[in-house]
Amino acid sequence: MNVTSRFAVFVALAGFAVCWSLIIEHALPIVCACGLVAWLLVQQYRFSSMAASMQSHLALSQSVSRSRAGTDETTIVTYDVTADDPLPVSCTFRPKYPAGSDAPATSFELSRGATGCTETREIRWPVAGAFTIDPPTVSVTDTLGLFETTLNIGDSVSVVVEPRTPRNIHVGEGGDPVTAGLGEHETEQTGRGGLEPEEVRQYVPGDTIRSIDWKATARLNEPHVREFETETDRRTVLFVDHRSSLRTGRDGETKLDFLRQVGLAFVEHARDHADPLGCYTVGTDGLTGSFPPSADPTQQVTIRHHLQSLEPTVDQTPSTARSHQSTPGRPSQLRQRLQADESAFSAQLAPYFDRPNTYVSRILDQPLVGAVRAATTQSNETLWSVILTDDTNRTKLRETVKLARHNQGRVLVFLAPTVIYEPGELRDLDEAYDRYMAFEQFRRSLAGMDRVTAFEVGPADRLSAVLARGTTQHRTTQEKP
Amino acid sequence: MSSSGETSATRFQPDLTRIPWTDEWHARADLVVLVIVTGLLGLIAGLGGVIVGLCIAALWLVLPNIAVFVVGQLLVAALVPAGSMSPLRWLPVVALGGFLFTTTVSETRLRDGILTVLAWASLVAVVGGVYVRTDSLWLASGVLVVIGVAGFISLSLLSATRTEGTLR
Repeated sequence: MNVTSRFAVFVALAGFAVCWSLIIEHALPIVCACGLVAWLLVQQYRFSSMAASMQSHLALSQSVSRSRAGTDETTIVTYDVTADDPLPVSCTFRPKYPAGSDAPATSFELSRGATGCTETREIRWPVAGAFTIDPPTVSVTDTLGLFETTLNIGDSVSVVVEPRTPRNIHVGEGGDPVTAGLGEHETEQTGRGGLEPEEVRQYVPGDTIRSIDWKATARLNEPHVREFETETDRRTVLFVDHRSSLRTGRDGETKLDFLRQVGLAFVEHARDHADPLGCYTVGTDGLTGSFPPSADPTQQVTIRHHLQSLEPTVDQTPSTARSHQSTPGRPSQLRQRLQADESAFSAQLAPYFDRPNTYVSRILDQPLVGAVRAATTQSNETLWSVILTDDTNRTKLRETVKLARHNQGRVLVFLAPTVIYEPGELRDLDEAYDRYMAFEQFRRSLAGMDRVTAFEVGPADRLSAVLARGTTQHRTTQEKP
Repeated sequence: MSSSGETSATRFQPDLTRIPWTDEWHARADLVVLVIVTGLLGLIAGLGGVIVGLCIAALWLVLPNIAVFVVGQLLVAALVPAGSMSPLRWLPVVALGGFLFTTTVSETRLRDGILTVLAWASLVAVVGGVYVRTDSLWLASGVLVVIGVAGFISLSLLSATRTEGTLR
């Protein structure tokens, strides 16, 4: 309970009456002061009783239009106030919004004699996270304006704000989307140690009587045995590239945004199946996040948050220095030519080509390659490597994929083709289609490697536009005499 | 027009062709108190008492009842010297307490007004008893202050317990 300035005025009046009584040596003003004090105490008691009664008879419920929203989206908060009896005094409700939200902090009032009201407020969420909206502060003042207090009524509500995600994600091969979902992991190893039946085959000497499938034997008139497939945990490692080239694309639909959704899907899958999951994120200057494979749910939550907070790094090196893409064969070709040449020119240049591992060293110095190499050589177990990157550095990516196959590991490569993400409305579809076909050729070359599967990731509508152009081109070519 | 703690701005009605406050219970009760006070003052002090009573009535038009109560008490104290406080001369003082009663009574609760009057009477009894016993206005004043502060703190704690609100 808080007293107002008006209360202080009455107290001052009582004090004045007492002082006046002392000054004029008259008992009557003290009687006046007694009256004032008695009146103030009774008013205080009345207000206290009224406030307690209101707390028990006033109900406040707040609800949100949706408990999950994206960044920069809005939610509507509805305040529903009901009173069992008409209110003896007016109440002021001051909504409280969490830090990180954007909403007008305007209060609303329930007037004296009212029995309820409904108010709505719109909140914008510029920042992602989990937020709790506390119940509004309810202030009550008595009719004479002497006292005020706050009531604790209502419950909190929670809102989860997630980063905006791309809508039409396409993951596929050559324009064909991947339709099969992920299921239990298959080891492609058969035997009697598993639970899932794999195949039925003819009986060979050495098979146990227990493994004979009598139904198949009766059906085929020859002894057949049923083999089961063993299941195991899959150790998966994500390699997420978030260098500057991943910034290409419209706001909220960059390469990194699309690849992020693929990575988060793997995190969710690992959580659902309790699989060990690791994650290495690579920026321009090297590793920006390192999580060795672990089945710890806490780490998986951390990985999820880390992926959601990733942003493309800023590229500090001049672009001209990175534009040159050499192939591994070129230095050895030049070295052989110089060895055959006995001129002073070749003698001067030869020492620079006597370091056959220069190309290899340069490759290994690249952040993504280095991360894959470190992760695959640290563990003696077979890993499922999931590489999320774009097609900017194709040569280096090829070497990366080769490294990832270390120790019979499997590699899933998710590539964001630059041509699909470039801003603009794909004005020159012919050129876009040619570039896409070059990308597709590269993707197939990766997919052709042993134990490697490569997918394209991008906005479905733009990819469809490019492929449709290709279909039109093909028809036009066929129709020409 | 209500007389319960209203400010002068809301009470003053320049339109005398219609006097809405006569239709309300509080206003009628306040008029009765004014008549009684004026009559008693006239009985005690003659014409001067009537004039003081009319002044109190004029103040009632522009001030809240509590302020009228305080000013009325001070005017009565000025009108009646300290040495001549006979039981009859205390009657206007008691009549002015009617303003405390009408201020506290609401449409549904009569007991608060009665409680106010009883609290006032109790305080006067305690403070008056101290004054009569000790013949010291200082001590009586001190007792009043202590009772007032103790009562305020006690009720604040009680309010905090009942509402579970913020104790400021």
